[in-house]
Amino acid sequence: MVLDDFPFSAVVGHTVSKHALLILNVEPRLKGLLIASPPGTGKSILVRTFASILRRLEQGNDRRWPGGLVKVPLGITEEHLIGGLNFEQAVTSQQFEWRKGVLAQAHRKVLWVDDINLMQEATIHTIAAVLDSGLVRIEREGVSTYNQADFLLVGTYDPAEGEPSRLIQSRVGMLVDSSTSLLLEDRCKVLHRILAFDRNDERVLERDVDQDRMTARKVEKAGRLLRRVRFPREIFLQLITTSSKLGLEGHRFDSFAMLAARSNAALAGRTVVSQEDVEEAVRLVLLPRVKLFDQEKQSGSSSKQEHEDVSTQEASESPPQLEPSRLSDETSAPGQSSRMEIEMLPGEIPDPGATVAEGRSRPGGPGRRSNAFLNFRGRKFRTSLKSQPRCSIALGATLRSAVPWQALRRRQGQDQFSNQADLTEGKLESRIIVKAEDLRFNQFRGKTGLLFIFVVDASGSMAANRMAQAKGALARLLQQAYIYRDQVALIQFRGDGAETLLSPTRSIERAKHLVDSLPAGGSTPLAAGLLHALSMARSTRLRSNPQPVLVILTDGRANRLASPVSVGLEARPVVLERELRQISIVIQREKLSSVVVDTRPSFLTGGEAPALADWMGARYLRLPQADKGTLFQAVTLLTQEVRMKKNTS
Amino acid sequence: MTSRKKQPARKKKHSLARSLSPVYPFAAIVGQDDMKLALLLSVLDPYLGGVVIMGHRGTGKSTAVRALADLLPARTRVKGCLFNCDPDRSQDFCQDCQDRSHKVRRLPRESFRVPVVDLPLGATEDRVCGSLDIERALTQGSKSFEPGLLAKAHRGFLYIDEVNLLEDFLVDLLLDAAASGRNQVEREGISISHPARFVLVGSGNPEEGELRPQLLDRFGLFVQVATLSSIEERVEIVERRDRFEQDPQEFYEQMHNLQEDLRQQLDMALELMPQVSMDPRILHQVAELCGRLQVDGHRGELTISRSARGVAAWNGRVAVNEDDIRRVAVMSLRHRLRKDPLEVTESPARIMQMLERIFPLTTR
Repeated sequence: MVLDDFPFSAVVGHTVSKHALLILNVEPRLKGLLIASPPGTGKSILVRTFASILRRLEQGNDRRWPGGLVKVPLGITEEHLIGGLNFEQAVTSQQFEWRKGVLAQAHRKVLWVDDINLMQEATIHTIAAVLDSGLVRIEREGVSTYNQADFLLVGTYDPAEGEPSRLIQSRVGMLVDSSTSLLLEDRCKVLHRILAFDRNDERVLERDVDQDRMTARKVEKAGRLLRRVRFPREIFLQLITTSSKLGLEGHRFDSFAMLAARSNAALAGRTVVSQEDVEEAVRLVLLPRVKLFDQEKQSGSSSKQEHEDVSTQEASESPPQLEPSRLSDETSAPGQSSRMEIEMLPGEIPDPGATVAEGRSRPGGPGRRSNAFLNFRGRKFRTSLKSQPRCSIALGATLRSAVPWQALRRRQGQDQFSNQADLTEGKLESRIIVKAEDLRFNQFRGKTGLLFIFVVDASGSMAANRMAQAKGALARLLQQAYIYRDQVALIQFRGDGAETLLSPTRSIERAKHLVDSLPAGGSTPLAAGLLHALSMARSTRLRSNPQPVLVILTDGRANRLASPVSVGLEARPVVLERELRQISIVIQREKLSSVVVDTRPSFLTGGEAPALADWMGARYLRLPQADKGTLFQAVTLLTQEVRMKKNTS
Repeated sequence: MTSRKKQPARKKKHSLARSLSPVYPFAAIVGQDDMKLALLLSVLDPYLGGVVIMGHRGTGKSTAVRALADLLPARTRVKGCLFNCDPDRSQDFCQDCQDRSHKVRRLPRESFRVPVVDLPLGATEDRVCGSLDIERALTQGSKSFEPGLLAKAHRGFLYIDEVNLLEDFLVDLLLDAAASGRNQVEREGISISHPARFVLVGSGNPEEGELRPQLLDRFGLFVQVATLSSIEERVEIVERRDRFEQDPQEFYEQMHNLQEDLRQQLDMALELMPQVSMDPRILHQVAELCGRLQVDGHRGELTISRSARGVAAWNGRVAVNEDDIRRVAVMSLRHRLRKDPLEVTESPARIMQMLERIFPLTTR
């Protein structure tokens, strides 16, 4: 038995995913589905067997697609994706044809991207754009045409390695987290079935094969029913109200939810959408996104018209330092809704004059990005005459530079590779004579610049004024990030653990807002903060995104373990220290450049932060002493080192 | 439509694309009045300098641009011209049209729909500016110019999604072309210049990063769109979209009257535009407004003046009044008030406060 014959119904677990896949099949307007699941849990089998259900529906109305699966490799080039000039044909004959890209080949099929969270941003963009419009536009190398590409996108990934791009998440209808572990009896089932499949033992899977047939029929029926499904007004209002309360951005999700509810009803054989369909839609379409949007909501986007989150006051164990915050109901300009404002603790205001002066003394000058030209990933951004080792030839540009010379070269009889017979027969009129000076090479530019991961201790031990200094320092660092077009991310740790306040972004404005409204209070789970940063740095590297630099602001006095602790066991200093050491060693081994900024006043220091810096192989800086200049200079030096290291590696 | 060798292929592509992805009617867009107005104004006065629309995904940014282009009446161009040359503006002719006009007394015309050209994410400079026509070169061995996106966008819209992620030099190039109205190409043995007058619309998600202030400043209007909060409006949006997707033709019929009204209003406004004037007193106040807000340069007051004229014309008037100024002040100035390099866009509060002082709502 071929793997593709493994019955869809025989896949154990993944109940939600399976249901979602069927819903997607019934209503293609849902565009697609992303499934998160740890490795080895059968995601691939799930997707492949889903495709086999599609094949059983081959005969039928045009709503159901011929089915079939097209798998997109992660590193696919844009040419292969979109299609392009068939150069061989063009150059050797007079035929001018373009080659259909993978997206066009996936027309009316399922496009499957595994490890979609690791795919390059540019590729994701292309796929998303085509997903939306259903058309592939080819405008390259002098070709201008359209291809139909109506497909269903199924993306699978391991959530431990990071989330997929926000863009693709917002363009597909449903998100499913399939990470729940199986019960013992289910695990046995999986073994039993796979082994049976290996042995070609059809008896074990017979029932599932039958089930598959029934599912196919059900889907077919649902497809026909879909047009007649009614959505009662009250229930529709309920759905929109729920969506509104969840606070998601944009209106696409409302549409997706509506489509999912309808499809669910159709699958169940009903012509009226019920409460239960709406709940299912909320579960599949809306709820999974709330968690993601929560982070962004907390920042209050750059549009200050949106509501800003109220900072919570947590009980702190060290000298309680409450954020002086005032909640006032203020009505702004007439016509606008009232908003709550929090008085924010002002950070030290950076001195604009200083920035300019420092800018000039920096080698390379301000605004110069570090361009890693020898990076082979990323976008093709120009062609050059110089050949670098392992650089690919830009066919289009090469031909373009060769073309003007053809007449001359032919007359001079420079075509030395053809044989006389062909020449006299006139078969070679359209051959292009390319010489070395015509060659043009692709220069790629990957995402360069750095990613500053700020890990901020927001526990109660960060006394109010030191928090202010920390914020001032951060503001300064953000300025630098702005100039160099670096990315920033913000992780805070306090109380129970660490939290990503801002995923890697180039929006310095948002970062600044977040920094300004950082609350403080709670215990100090330093280890958790470090772990969180480590995982973010790792997933950043996997996507060959910018080089991460950790900037940790803390006093080093951890009092909470990251690892789960048995009840009753206290976090003794020895245990805490050991944990921190372990994590630091890992950070050092992964060669993550880091800076530890000690926020503890010098007369109180117990050496915790310097010790941490030592274990991590990080630079150490003391905040209270450091005036604006020192801190800035120190971080600048470090980042320069990192940039240079990156360019020469 | 008589067929010529190259033309039918192009026409077929265009109508195929439109039938495969029908355009949502402008009149059916719910809410988002600022964005809609900004786009209309950019059509009324092409010198306004384009629009930047910032907002989360799914707030209808690209829908609006395409809808507007579709709303506009078909235009005339020289038949077969790849640069959409206007047959009544011989001073703007491309090289081909110029040559032809010497041989024939009157150039043949044809109508075409206002183009919306999308800038693809992987756009390279040669694709934007145009380059050697490789098909001709390979098959015929002749050298000729393949128009780029700037040529295709002439007399239409150039839409850049995620403009805040685009390379600075490309944005720069596009802004230059938009400002000068021409595209000069010098590459691969080609030297050509052609008109490139288009409305530049950039959109983006503020979470992904900001556009450099210098680039931002060169855009005319700045609009921020948000997800609508009223349940009724949200319901309406989803319902309309659904009806549209299920049966576009039917939806077009339902929206026909509203669309027609809009078209007529726009026609009238376009006619009125040259006659609209602004009282020197109001002009003075506008300058004062910008002065007090410490707007960099003069683009602020120029934009307010131009867009206010557009508003007056849109409302059927030939005289600009204070309401018009109030209507456009925020979208004209919001992106030009950079004080702190980290705060690229202002909240409207400051602008509105100053507006209130100089153009008080209560009549004296």
